[in-house]
Amino acid sequence: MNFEFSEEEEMFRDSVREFSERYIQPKWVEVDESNKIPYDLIKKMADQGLFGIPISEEYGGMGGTYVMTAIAVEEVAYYDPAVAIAVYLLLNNGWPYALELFGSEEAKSEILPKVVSGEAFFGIASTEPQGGSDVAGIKTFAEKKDGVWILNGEKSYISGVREVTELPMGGGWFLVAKTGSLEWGHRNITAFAVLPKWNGKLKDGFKPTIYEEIGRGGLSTGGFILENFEVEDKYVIGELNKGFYHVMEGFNLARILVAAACVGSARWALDAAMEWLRNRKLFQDRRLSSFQGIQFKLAELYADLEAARLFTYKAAWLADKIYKEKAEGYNPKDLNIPVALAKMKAPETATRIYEEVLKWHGAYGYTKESNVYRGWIGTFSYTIGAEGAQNIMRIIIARDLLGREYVRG
Amino acid sequence: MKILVPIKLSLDTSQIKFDESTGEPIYEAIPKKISDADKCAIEEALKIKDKYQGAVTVVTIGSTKDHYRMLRDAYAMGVDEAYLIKYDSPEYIPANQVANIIKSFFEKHGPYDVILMGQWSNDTHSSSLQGMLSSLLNYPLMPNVDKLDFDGTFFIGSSNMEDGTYTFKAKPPLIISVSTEANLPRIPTLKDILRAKKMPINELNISDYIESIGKLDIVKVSRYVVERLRNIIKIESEDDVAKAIDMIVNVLKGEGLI
Ligand SMILES: Cc1cc2nc3c(=O)[nH]c(=O)nc-3n(C[C@H](O)[C@H](O)[C@H](O)COP(=O)(O)OP(=O)(O)OC[C@H]3O[C@@H](n4cnc5c(N)ncnc54)[C@H](O)[C@@H]3O)c2cc1C
Repeated sequence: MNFEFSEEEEMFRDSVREFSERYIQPKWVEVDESNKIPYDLIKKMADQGLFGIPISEEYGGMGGTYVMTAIAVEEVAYYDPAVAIAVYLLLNNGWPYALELFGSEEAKSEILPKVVSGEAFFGIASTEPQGGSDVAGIKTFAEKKDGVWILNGEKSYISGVREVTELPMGGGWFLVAKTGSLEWGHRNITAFAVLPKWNGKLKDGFKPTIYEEIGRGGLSTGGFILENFEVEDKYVIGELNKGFYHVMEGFNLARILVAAACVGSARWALDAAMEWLRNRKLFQDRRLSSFQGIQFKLAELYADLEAARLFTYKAAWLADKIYKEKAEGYNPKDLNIPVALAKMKAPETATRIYEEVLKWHGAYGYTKESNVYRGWIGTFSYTIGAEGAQNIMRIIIARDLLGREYVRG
Repeated sequence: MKILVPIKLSLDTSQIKFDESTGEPIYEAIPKKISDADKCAIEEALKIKDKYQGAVTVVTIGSTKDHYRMLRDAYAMGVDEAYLIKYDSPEYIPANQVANIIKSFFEKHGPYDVILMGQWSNDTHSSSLQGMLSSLLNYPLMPNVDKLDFDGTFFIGSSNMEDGTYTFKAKPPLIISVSTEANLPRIPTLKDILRAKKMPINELNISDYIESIGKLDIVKVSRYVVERLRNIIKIESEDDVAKAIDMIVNVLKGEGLI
């Protein structure tokens, strides 16, 4: 057993920290306020190699590990606790990596280098208006006519809708749709790389809307209607009618990074809080940090954060065993529980930490100037469920613990 | 062009913590890292290499894990060779001896056309090494440069001194010391870091470079304490503001400050 990061992992963490301190920290509040990550910052992140961390070098990536990817997301979130930049980063690592695992050679060599260079966005489009948790119940339908796939349906609460339309190159999503029949179930779903804007051109049959959200301002969430939207065969991801299984593996990968983002943001909140507790003096010049009522809470929250962090890196380590090392005896489904633990624990821990940190800051915490609330609402998006609702994590854990047949009835 | 950059591991002064009762730094709690100006010297060397080719060598003295890490970081930035002159005593090495060690390193591994170095280290700020090396090697010194250009033949450096900005021009061989104003050092990418992992850290024996280490003990380092006069001028009402200003002016005059 070894709980140490390797020297190159430590060096990489320091490099991301230095980058984030220099370029992200001075911008994060402005990004949150202006609802936009400036393109020059996206380019800088790309030049620093941050969008292709787990992607193979043949597609322009860094050829790094998934642990390294989690490290980068954690550090960026520390300097962008509102997490929009961190989420932009995690989507553009996790989902392109899922494309690398399952996509066609043609699609990979066309899309991946553009994501790595920061010119294009590649996220996930699974949620639909009738409910995101029930992936087997999606209604978007894909039909093959004259060798081309025709997609019809609606996706909602999708990250990156404005970014796809505004980036010079464009981009799109790892999108799941029903193929064959619309019936509820897992075996009639196929995954596609859907690129509504590519090479700077918006394609026909894509009707986007942008939602106004309460937090995570720098990254848009929107919806879109696909109306006879054409997709070439090369953009089918993985096997026909196996899309449910592919997207679930993709979710496992992305959720590790979601947990890393929450851990990074919460670490910032606790560090900021400790600075405050050490310096705030009352009751005849006593530091707030000298009161046991505060110390006990701090210790409990730190324990939760450390647990979330361990869950996160254990899952990332396991992902490397499965996908990078292809180690014998390790299977994709081994990730289900470890990932669900990380994704269940990290966002809830983060929002709980923020709630306490806000209280410790007193009235100042309630002002916009303190900025603490930005991290609170930002990480709350993940307790709601971006990349999977919290109860779904509980369902996964219980299902795999008890056995599928025992949770049905 | 062969460039040598001697670098030093120093305290990360942005993270200094003092013991509140003694006013002394808590050394164990302060992370160590490459001196900021030394990192800028590496960056200048790499800029020359990127544009005009050449080889950049870094050398340091020490033997802790942090020393190895610092050399690995230099490789990640893009240097070609890294040397560790192994010295494992915690004893402080006086600057004149560091200069002599670097001189014999220069003689054994050089010659180098240019020695680029930091103006001073984060923790001692003595700026003495550059002058000593200049004298030992008989290389001219372009000191404390805030901006450096190289046109392929000449180095042009400018240095902001108290009495104005000096602009120097010189051809190699040469020693140049740079300040932290000179540049924003590059941040290695993951690819750079993975490449650096494969590079060798060349270990040397300090006894091959100097006969014995002399002594200059630093017996105590403490925080500056600014003594305040606590000269308080109180006024009862706004009408007395003008009077108070006069009193403040008188106090300042009395202290010889204006
Ligand atoms: C900021 C943000 C960004 C997002 N980005 C994306 C994106 O890029 N791509 C994408 O596809 N989706 C995205 N989503 C959508 C997200 O995946 C969904 O919110 C999530 O899957 C939950 O779906 P839902 O919101 O429709 O809620 P529902 O599925 O309707 O669930 C509502 C509530 O019921 C609970 N619940 C559901 N089923 C059960 C059950 N069986 N037992 C107990 N409780 C249950 C859930 O935990 C939840 O609290 C984003 C969401 C947010 C907030």
